[in-house]
Amino acid sequence: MLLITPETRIADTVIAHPEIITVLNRFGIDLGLGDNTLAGLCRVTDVNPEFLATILNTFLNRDYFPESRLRSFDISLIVRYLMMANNSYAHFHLPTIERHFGMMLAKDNGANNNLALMFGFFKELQAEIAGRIEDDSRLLAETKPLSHSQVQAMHNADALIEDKLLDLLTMMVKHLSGDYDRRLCQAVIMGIVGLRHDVVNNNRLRVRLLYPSIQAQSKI
Amino acid sequence: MTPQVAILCSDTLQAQGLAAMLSNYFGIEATIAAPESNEVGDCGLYLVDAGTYASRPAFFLPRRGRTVIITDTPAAAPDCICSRQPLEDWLELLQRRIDGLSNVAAAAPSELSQRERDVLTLVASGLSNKAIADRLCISVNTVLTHRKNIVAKLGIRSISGLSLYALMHGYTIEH
Repeated sequence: MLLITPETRIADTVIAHPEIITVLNRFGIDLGLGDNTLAGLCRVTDVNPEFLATILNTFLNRDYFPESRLRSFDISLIVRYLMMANNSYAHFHLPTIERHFGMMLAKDNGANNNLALMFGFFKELQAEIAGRIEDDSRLLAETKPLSHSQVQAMHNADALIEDKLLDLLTMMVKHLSGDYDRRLCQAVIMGIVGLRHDVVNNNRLRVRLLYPSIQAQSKI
Repeated sequence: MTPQVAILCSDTLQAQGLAAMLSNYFGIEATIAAPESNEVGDCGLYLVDAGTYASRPAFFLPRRGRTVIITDTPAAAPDCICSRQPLEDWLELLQRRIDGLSNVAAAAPSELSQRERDVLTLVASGLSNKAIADRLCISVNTVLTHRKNIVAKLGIRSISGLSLYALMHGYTIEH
């Protein structure tokens, strides 16, 4: 298992695991990393290096979730990170998938009806994610107390989005038929895989840290 | 699902080395048993040294398809591997056997039965489990079993995903 510390020279890690670029970007760290350590980059961008290292480690390692360490950070850091993630879903992940899907449909010129149906499923999912982002904006900005049933509903909505992302992936990988542009289809699939990885990882933060914290507040 | 693997070798180091290899490279926690042990359960794969294999034909012959025999000298038989083979040969052999086990586990037919297609059509049209049961004159439990099988076969979990699949395949209610 690869673990990043504030002393890690981050360029080496990015070369091996470019998927963390998304997370670094969310914290205002751009490419052109040089030989800087994570701590050095965090000094420039005024980010807590221990927090960022922990977020990167949970992002990289599916079986790694240092709950007590994450609880040691102020919950506002987690909230801010989840808001940043939402922002990148809305302005990067979903539009990128939509653009590639749209190009694939345009090339196909309506010949493959399955593609149009899958695009409809994607648009429905996109609207659901946008709806959840709106709910989050209210919930996370106000951090107002929530009832158990409200938390359960949010939990269910998180799980449903994960399921639907996997369904779309399964549909494309296992059940796609007819002609399609291979490169664009691959781009769509890579986009869905990246988004799903991100969503699943951040749902761990929501379910194990955020929701319990909000519920605890409501009991005070 | 992780396959159950048992290691029966008289050489302790060999047994421990195999267990470490399975754990490090495949994430499989194998059971190490004494060569004469009768308490090894029904496993997907047995790794056994030649001496142990020869001493227990009644146990290993019926399990021959699931057994890899470790020899001290190079052996040509497909079920055998020499302990001195390089690591990559070992990893390839183990991977092939593990893949074989997974394929056997997944060998259930992936096509939907007629009844499952009926249930899927009704799920896609938005009917509840109770309404589907009434329409098909079956119990709700049977509907749930069909739904579980449909999800397992298609790999699609959400109702809207199942609806999409039904549309793609023309499973719609004829009025």
